[in-house]
Amino acid sequence: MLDLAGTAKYKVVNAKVISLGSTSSFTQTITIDAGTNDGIRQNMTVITGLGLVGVVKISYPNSALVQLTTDPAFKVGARVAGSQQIGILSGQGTSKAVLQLLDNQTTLKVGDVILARGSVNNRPFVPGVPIGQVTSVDNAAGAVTQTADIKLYVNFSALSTVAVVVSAPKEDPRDALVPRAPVPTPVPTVTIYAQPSESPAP
Amino acid sequence: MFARRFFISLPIFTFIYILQESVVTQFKLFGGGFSLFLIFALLWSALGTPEMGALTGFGAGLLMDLSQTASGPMGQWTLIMILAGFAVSYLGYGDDNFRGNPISLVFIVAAAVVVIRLIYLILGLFLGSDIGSTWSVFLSLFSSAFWSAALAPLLLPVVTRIHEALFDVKSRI
Repeated sequence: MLDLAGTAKYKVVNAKVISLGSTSSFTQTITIDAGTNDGIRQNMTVITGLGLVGVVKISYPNSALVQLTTDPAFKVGARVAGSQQIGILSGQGTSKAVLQLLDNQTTLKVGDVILARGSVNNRPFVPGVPIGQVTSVDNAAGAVTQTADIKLYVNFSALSTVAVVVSAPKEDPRDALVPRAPVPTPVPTVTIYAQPSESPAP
Repeated sequence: MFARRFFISLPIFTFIYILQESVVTQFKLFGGGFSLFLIFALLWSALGTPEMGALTGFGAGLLMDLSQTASGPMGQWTLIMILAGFAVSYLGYGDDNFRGNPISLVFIVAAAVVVIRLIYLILGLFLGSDIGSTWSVFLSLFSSAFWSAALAPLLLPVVTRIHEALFDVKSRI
Protein backbone atom coordinates (compact mmCIF):
# COMPACT_ATOMS: atom_id res chain seq x y z
CA MET A 1 0.00 0.00 0.00
CA LEU A 2 2.81 2.38 0.97
CA ASP A 3 4.68 1.36 -2.17
CA LEU A 4 1.77 2.37 -4.40
CA ALA A 5 1.15 5.61 -2.48
CA GLY A 6 4.89 6.41 -2.37
CA THR A 7 5.42 5.89 -6.09
CA ALA A 8 2.56 8.23 -6.95
CA LYS A 9 3.39 10.61 -4.06
CA TYR A 10 -0.10 10.34 -2.62
CA LYS A 11 -0.65 11.48 0.95
CA VAL A 12 -2.74 8.76 2.53
CA VAL A 13 -4.52 7.98 5.76
CA ASN A 14 -4.64 4.29 6.63
CA ALA A 15 -7.82 2.81 8.04
CA LYS A 16 -9.18 -0.55 9.13
CA VAL A 17 -12.35 -2.04 7.70
CA ILE A 18 -14.79 -2.29 10.61
CA SER A 19 -17.89 -3.54 8.84
CA LEU A 20 -19.14 -4.73 5.51
CA GLY A 21 -22.14 -3.26 3.75
CA SER A 22 -25.84 -3.88 3.89
CA THR A 23 -27.03 -7.46 3.92
CA SER A 24 -30.55 -6.59 2.79
CA SER A 25 -30.02 -4.24 -0.15
CA PHE A 26 -27.73 -4.88 -3.10
CA THR A 27 -25.21 -2.13 -2.43
CA GLN A 28 -21.57 -3.00 -1.86
CA THR A 29 -19.99 -0.81 0.79
CA ILE A 30 -17.58 -0.98 3.70
CA THR A 31 -17.20 1.15 6.81
CA ILE A 32 -13.71 2.23 7.87
CA ASP A 33 -12.50 3.42 11.26
CA ALA A 34 -11.29 6.85 10.16
CA GLY A 35 -13.38 9.92 9.48
CA THR A 36 -13.41 13.70 9.42
CA ASN A 37 -11.24 13.85 12.55
CA ASP A 38 -8.50 12.17 10.49
CA GLY A 39 -8.95 14.47 7.50
CA ILE A 40 -11.21 12.18 5.51
CA ARG A 41 -13.90 13.90 3.49
CA GLN A 42 -16.58 12.85 1.05
CA ASN A 43 -15.44 11.90 -2.47
CA MET A 44 -11.91 10.82 -1.64
CA THR A 45 -10.25 7.87 -3.38
CA VAL A 46 -9.73 4.68 -1.36
CA ILE A 47 -6.93 2.30 -2.36
CA THR A 48 -4.96 -0.74 -1.25
CA GLY A 49 -1.52 -1.86 -2.38
CA LEU A 50 -3.14 -3.61 -5.35
CA GLY A 51 -5.31 -0.80 -6.67
CA LEU A 52 -8.61 1.03 -6.46
CA VAL A 53 -11.02 0.02 -3.69
CA GLY A 54 -13.67 2.70 -4.05
CA VAL A 55 -14.68 6.16 -2.98
CA VAL A 56 -15.74 7.76 0.32
CA LYS A 57 -19.49 8.40 0.13
CA ILE A 58 -20.20 9.65 3.64
CA SER A 59 -17.74 10.67 6.33
CA TYR A 60 -18.55 10.85 10.03
CA PRO A 61 -16.22 12.10 12.81
CA ASN A 62 -14.67 8.68 13.47
CA SER A 63 -15.79 6.52 10.55
CA ALA A 64 -16.58 6.69 6.87
CA LEU A 65 -18.73 4.78 4.42
CA VAL A 66 -16.90 3.65 1.30
CA GLN A 67 -18.65 2.65 -1.91
CA LEU A 68 -16.72 -0.26 -3.43
CA THR A 69 -15.68 -0.56 -7.07
CA THR A 70 -17.87 -3.66 -7.25
CA ASP A 71 -21.05 -1.74 -6.35
CA PRO A 72 -23.53 -1.80 -9.27
CA ALA A 73 -23.93 1.99 -9.00
CA PHE A 74 -20.18 2.64 -9.05
CA LYS A 75 -18.76 4.40 -12.10
CA VAL A 76 -15.25 5.73 -12.71
CA GLY A 77 -13.54 7.37 -15.66
CA ALA A 78 -10.81 4.96 -16.75
CA ARG A 79 -8.01 4.84 -19.30
CA VAL A 80 -6.02 2.08 -20.89
CA ALA A 81 -2.35 2.07 -19.88
CA GLY A 82 -0.16 2.66 -22.90
CA SER A 83 -2.74 3.71 -25.47
CA GLN A 84 -4.34 6.22 -23.03
CA GLN A 85 -7.77 5.56 -24.51
CA ILE A 86 -10.57 6.54 -22.17
CA GLY A 87 -13.79 4.91 -21.11
CA ILE A 88 -16.24 4.42 -18.27
CA LEU A 89 -15.86 1.52 -15.89
CA SER A 90 -18.97 0.27 -14.06
CA GLY A 91 -19.22 -2.13 -11.13
CA GLN A 92 -21.26 -5.28 -11.59
CA GLY A 93 -21.64 -6.66 -8.09
CA THR A 94 -18.88 -9.23 -8.64
CA SER A 95 -15.07 -9.18 -8.86
CA LYS A 96 -15.45 -8.21 -12.51
CA ALA A 97 -16.39 -4.81 -13.88
CA VAL A 98 -17.36 -3.63 -17.35
CA LEU A 99 -15.41 -1.02 -19.29
CA GLN A 100 -17.15 0.90 -22.05
CA LEU A 101 -14.76 2.79 -24.30
CA LEU A 102 -15.80 6.17 -25.61
CA ASP A 103 -13.99 5.95 -28.93
CA ASN A 104 -15.14 3.31 -31.40
CA GLN A 105 -11.80 3.42 -33.25
CA THR A 106 -9.98 1.98 -30.29
CA THR A 107 -8.99 -1.63 -30.04
CA LEU A 108 -8.62 -3.34 -26.72
CA LYS A 109 -6.82 -6.58 -26.11
CA VAL A 110 -6.81 -9.12 -23.33
CA GLY A 111 -4.22 -8.24 -20.71
CA ASP A 112 -4.46 -4.45 -21.11
CA VAL A 113 -4.17 -2.66 -17.77
CA ILE A 114 -6.90 -0.20 -16.80
CA LEU A 115 -6.11 2.83 -14.64
CA ALA A 116 -8.23 5.56 -13.07
CA ARG A 117 -8.32 8.61 -15.29
CA GLY A 118 -8.61 11.09 -12.44
CA SER A 119 -11.05 13.86 -11.68
CA VAL A 120 -10.89 17.63 -11.50
CA ASN A 121 -9.00 18.59 -8.30
CA ASN A 122 -8.38 14.85 -7.74
CA ARG A 123 -11.84 14.24 -6.30
CA PRO A 124 -13.45 11.79 -6.31
CA PHE A 125 -10.62 10.00 -8.13
CA VAL A 126 -6.90 10.61 -8.21
CA PRO A 127 -5.28 9.71 -11.55
CA GLY A 128 -3.18 6.67 -12.25
CA VAL A 129 -4.56 4.20 -9.69
CA PRO A 130 -4.59 0.65 -11.14
CA ILE A 131 -8.10 -0.80 -11.38
CA GLY A 132 -7.82 -4.09 -13.20
CA GLN A 133 -6.93 -6.02 -16.31
CA VAL A 134 -8.93 -6.81 -19.46
CA THR A 135 -10.05 -10.45 -19.49
CA SER A 136 -12.36 -10.42 -22.51
CA VAL A 137 -13.39 -7.97 -25.20
CA ASP A 138 -16.85 -7.75 -26.73
CA ASN A 139 -16.44 -7.13 -30.44
CA ALA A 140 -20.10 -7.58 -31.34
CA ALA A 141 -20.95 -6.26 -34.78
CA GLY A 142 -23.17 -3.20 -34.61
CA ALA A 143 -21.98 -2.14 -31.18
CA VAL A 144 -21.49 1.62 -31.01
CA THR A 145 -18.49 1.33 -28.72
CA GLN A 146 -16.31 -1.49 -27.55
CA THR A 147 -16.92 -3.03 -24.13
CA ALA A 148 -14.66 -5.28 -22.12
CA ASP A 149 -14.77 -7.33 -18.93
CA ILE A 150 -12.24 -6.20 -16.37
CA LYS A 151 -10.87 -8.42 -13.61
CA LEU A 152 -10.37 -6.10 -10.66
CA TYR A 153 -6.98 -6.24 -8.95
CA VAL A 154 -8.29 -5.87 -5.40
CA ASN A 155 -9.65 -8.92 -3.60
CA PHE A 156 -12.75 -7.41 -2.02
CA SER A 157 -13.58 -10.44 0.09
CA ALA A 158 -10.31 -10.10 2.01
CA LEU A 159 -10.20 -6.36 2.66
CA SER A 160 -8.84 -5.52 6.08
CA THR A 161 -6.76 -2.34 5.77
CA VAL A 162 -7.21 0.39 3.20
CA ALA A 163 -5.73 3.84 2.54
CA VAL A 164 -7.67 7.00 1.81
CA VAL A 165 -5.88 9.45 -0.50
CA VAL A 166 -6.22 12.82 1.22
CA SER A 167 -4.01 14.70 -1.22
CA ALA A 168 -2.24 13.96 -4.48
CA PRO A 169 0.52 15.74 -6.41
CA LYS A 170 -0.41 18.01 -9.29
CA GLU A 171 1.44 15.91 -11.86
CA ASP A 172 -0.30 12.83 -13.19
CA PRO A 173 1.75 9.66 -12.52
CA ARG A 174 0.59 8.41 -15.95
CA ASP A 175 1.52 4.71 -16.21
CA ALA A 176 3.96 4.66 -13.29
CA LEU A 177 1.62 2.56 -11.16
CA VAL A 178 1.01 -0.19 -13.69
CA PRO A 179 1.74 -3.45 -11.87
CA ARG A 180 4.84 -5.17 -13.11
CA ALA A 181 4.27 -8.39 -14.96
CA PRO A 182 5.34 -11.36 -12.86
CA VAL A 183 8.88 -12.46 -13.68
CA PRO A 184 8.99 -16.20 -14.19
CA THR A 185 11.17 -17.81 -11.55
CA PRO A 186 13.89 -19.98 -13.15
CA VAL A 187 13.47 -23.58 -12.18
CA PRO A 188 16.82 -25.32 -11.62
CA THR A 189 17.17 -28.45 -13.67
CA VAL A 190 19.11 -31.30 -12.17
CA THR A 191 20.37 -33.88 -14.58
CA ILE A 192 21.31 -37.24 -13.18
CA TYR A 193 23.26 -39.69 -15.24
CA ALA A 194 22.71 -43.21 -14.15
CA GLN A 195 25.05 -45.91 -15.30
CA PRO A 196 24.06 -49.50 -14.77
CA SER A 197 26.57 -51.40 -12.76
CA GLU A 198 28.06 -54.49 -14.21
CA SER A 199 25.92 -57.48 -13.56
CA PRO A 200 27.62 -60.09 -11.44
CA ALA A 201 28.85 -63.13 -13.30
CA PRO A 202 26.70 -66.20 -12.85
CA MET B 1 -53.89 -1.06 21.82
CA PHE B 2 -51.83 -0.74 18.66
CA ALA B 3 -49.84 2.16 20.07
CA ARG B 4 -49.10 0.25 23.27
CA ARG B 5 -47.87 -2.80 21.37
CA PHE B 6 -45.90 -0.64 19.00
CA PHE B 7 -44.09 1.19 21.80
CA ILE B 8 -43.39 -2.08 23.62
CA SER B 9 -41.90 -3.56 20.45
CA LEU B 10 -39.82 -0.50 19.61
CA PRO B 11 -36.91 -1.06 22.07
CA ILE B 12 -36.66 -4.71 21.01
CA PHE B 13 -36.50 -3.77 17.34
CA THR B 14 -34.01 -1.00 18.08
CA PHE B 15 -31.78 -3.50 19.88
CA ILE B 16 -31.92 -5.99 17.00
CA TYR B 17 -31.29 -3.15 14.54
CA ILE B 18 -28.16 -2.04 16.42
CA LEU B 19 -27.03 -5.67 16.61
CA GLN B 20 -27.51 -5.99 12.86
CA GLU B 21 -25.70 -2.75 11.98
CA SER B 22 -22.79 -3.14 14.40
CA VAL B 23 -22.17 -6.87 14.76
CA VAL B 24 -23.79 -8.89 11.95
CA THR B 25 -22.29 -6.64 9.26
CA GLN B 26 -18.81 -7.66 10.43
CA PHE B 27 -19.35 -11.31 9.50
CA LYS B 28 -17.72 -12.31 6.27
CA LEU B 29 -20.11 -14.96 5.03
CA PHE B 30 -20.89 -16.60 1.72
CA GLY B 31 -22.99 -14.45 -0.61
CA GLY B 32 -23.02 -11.40 1.66
CA GLY B 33 -24.51 -13.01 4.74
CA PHE B 34 -27.95 -12.53 6.27
CA SER B 35 -30.15 -9.79 7.63
CA LEU B 36 -30.97 -10.69 11.21
CA PHE B 37 -33.25 -7.67 11.45
CA LEU B 38 -35.30 -8.66 8.40
CA ILE B 39 -35.74 -12.24 9.60
CA PHE B 40 -36.70 -11.05 13.09
CA ALA B 41 -39.22 -8.54 11.72
CA LEU B 42 -40.87 -11.17 9.52
CA LEU B 43 -41.09 -13.71 12.34
CA TRP B 44 -42.55 -11.05 14.62
CA SER B 45 -45.10 -10.05 11.98
CA ALA B 46 -46.09 -13.66 11.37
CA LEU B 47 -47.06 -14.06 15.03
CA GLY B 48 -49.48 -11.13 15.09
CA THR B 49 -52.65 -9.98 13.37
CA PRO B 50 -52.45 -8.52 9.83
CA GLU B 51 -52.92 -4.99 11.19
CA MET B 52 -50.16 -5.52 13.72
CA GLY B 53 -48.00 -7.09 11.00
CA ALA B 54 -48.36 -4.00 8.82
CA LEU B 55 -47.50 -1.78 11.77
CA THR B 56 -44.46 -3.94 12.57
CA GLY B 57 -43.46 -3.71 8.91
CA PHE B 58 -43.80 0.07 9.05
CA GLY B 59 -41.49 0.38 12.06
CA ALA B 60 -38.98 -2.12 10.71
CA GLY B 61 -38.97 -0.53 7.24
CA LEU B 62 -38.44 2.92 8.73
CA LEU B 63 -35.37 1.69 10.62
CA MET B 64 -34.06 -0.04 7.47
CA ASP B 65 -34.47 3.21 5.54
CA LEU B 66 -32.42 4.98 8.21
CA SER B 67 -29.50 2.59 7.76
CA GLN B 68 -26.38 4.34 6.46
CA THR B 69 -25.96 1.64 3.84
CA ALA B 70 -29.52 1.95 2.45
CA SER B 71 -29.14 3.07 -1.15
CA GLY B 72 -32.74 3.74 -2.14
CA PRO B 73 -34.84 6.80 -1.44
CA MET B 74 -36.32 7.29 2.01
CA GLY B 75 -39.51 5.26 2.27
CA GLN B 76 -38.61 2.47 -0.16
CA TRP B 77 -38.01 -0.08 2.58
CA THR B 78 -40.96 1.24 4.61
CA LEU B 79 -43.38 0.69 1.73
CA ILE B 80 -42.10 -2.81 1.01
CA MET B 81 -42.02 -3.83 4.67
CA ILE B 82 -45.60 -2.64 5.33
CA LEU B 83 -46.81 -4.88 2.50
CA ALA B 84 -44.54 -7.74 3.57
CA GLY B 85 -45.55 -7.52 7.24
CA PHE B 86 -49.23 -7.52 6.31
CA ALA B 87 -48.85 -10.40 3.83
CA VAL B 88 -46.87 -12.63 6.17
CA SER B 89 -49.21 -12.09 9.12
CA TYR B 90 -52.26 -12.53 6.87
CA LEU B 91 -50.97 -15.96 5.86
CA GLY B 92 -50.39 -16.85 9.50
CA TYR B 93 -53.74 -15.62 10.71
CA GLY B 94 -57.13 -17.33 10.86
CA ASP B 95 -58.09 -20.97 11.10
CA ASP B 96 -56.20 -22.29 8.11
CA ASN B 97 -52.82 -20.80 8.97
CA PHE B 98 -49.21 -21.98 8.89
CA ARG B 99 -48.40 -20.67 12.35
CA GLY B 100 -48.95 -24.01 14.01
CA ASN B 101 -46.25 -25.65 11.95
CA PRO B 102 -42.69 -24.39 12.55
CA ILE B 103 -41.44 -25.79 9.25
CA SER B 104 -44.06 -23.84 7.31
CA LEU B 105 -43.18 -20.72 9.27
CA VAL B 106 -39.48 -21.10 8.49
CA PHE B 107 -40.27 -21.75 4.83
CA ILE B 108 -42.54 -18.70 4.58
CA VAL B 109 -39.96 -16.45 6.23
CA ALA B 110 -37.12 -17.69 3.98
CA ALA B 111 -39.30 -17.23 0.89
CA ALA B 112 -40.47 -13.81 2.10
CA VAL B 113 -36.87 -12.59 2.50
CA VAL B 114 -36.15 -13.47 -1.15
CA VAL B 115 -39.42 -11.95 -2.40
CA ILE B 116 -38.88 -8.76 -0.39
CA ARG B 117 -35.35 -8.31 -1.75
CA LEU B 118 -36.57 -9.02 -5.28
CA ILE B 119 -39.32 -6.39 -4.95
CA TYR B 120 -36.75 -3.96 -3.55
CA LEU B 121 -34.59 -4.63 -6.60
CA ILE B 122 -37.45 -4.19 -9.09
CA LEU B 123 -38.66 -1.02 -7.38
CA GLY B 124 -35.07 0.24 -7.43
CA LEU B 125 -34.92 -0.41 -11.18
CA PHE B 126 -38.04 1.72 -11.68
CA LEU B 127 -36.38 4.44 -9.63
CA GLY B 128 -33.24 4.33 -11.78
CA SER B 129 -30.88 2.22 -9.66
CA ASP B 130 -28.26 -0.06 -11.19
CA ILE B 131 -28.49 -3.74 -10.31
CA GLY B 132 -25.23 -5.13 -11.66
CA SER B 133 -24.86 -8.54 -13.22
CA THR B 134 -27.62 -11.14 -13.16
CA TRP B 135 -25.24 -13.65 -11.60
CA SER B 136 -24.50 -11.43 -8.61
CA VAL B 137 -28.23 -10.84 -8.06
CA PHE B 138 -28.96 -14.57 -8.25
CA LEU B 139 -26.10 -15.39 -5.88
CA SER B 140 -27.22 -12.74 -3.41
CA LEU B 141 -30.85 -13.93 -3.45
CA PHE B 142 -29.84 -17.57 -3.16
CA SER B 143 -27.52 -16.90 -0.23
CA SER B 144 -30.13 -14.82 1.60
CA ALA B 145 -32.65 -17.68 1.20
CA PHE B 146 -30.05 -20.13 2.49
CA TRP B 147 -29.06 -18.04 5.52
CA SER B 148 -32.68 -17.19 6.35
CA ALA B 149 -33.68 -20.86 6.24
CA ALA B 150 -30.70 -21.70 8.46
CA LEU B 151 -31.24 -18.89 10.95
CA ALA B 152 -35.05 -18.74 11.25
CA PRO B 153 -35.35 -22.05 13.19
CA LEU B 154 -32.77 -20.77 15.69
CA LEU B 155 -34.54 -17.45 16.14
CA LEU B 156 -38.07 -18.87 16.21
CA PRO B 157 -38.12 -20.08 19.85
CA VAL B 158 -36.63 -16.79 21.06
CA VAL B 159 -39.05 -14.64 19.07
CA THR B 160 -42.13 -16.63 20.09
CA ARG B 161 -41.15 -16.51 23.77
CA ILE B 162 -40.58 -12.75 23.74
CA HIS B 163 -43.81 -12.24 21.80
CA GLU B 164 -45.76 -14.34 24.26
CA ALA B 165 -44.19 -12.70 27.29
CA LEU B 166 -44.97 -9.20 26.04
CA PHE B 167 -48.41 -9.63 24.57
CA ASP B 168 -49.66 -12.59 26.61
CA VAL B 169 -50.70 -14.35 23.41
CA LYS B 170 -50.29 -18.08 23.11
CA SER B 171 -48.26 -18.08 19.95
CA ARG B 172 -45.32 -20.12 21.19
CA ILE B 173 -44.26 -22.96 19.01
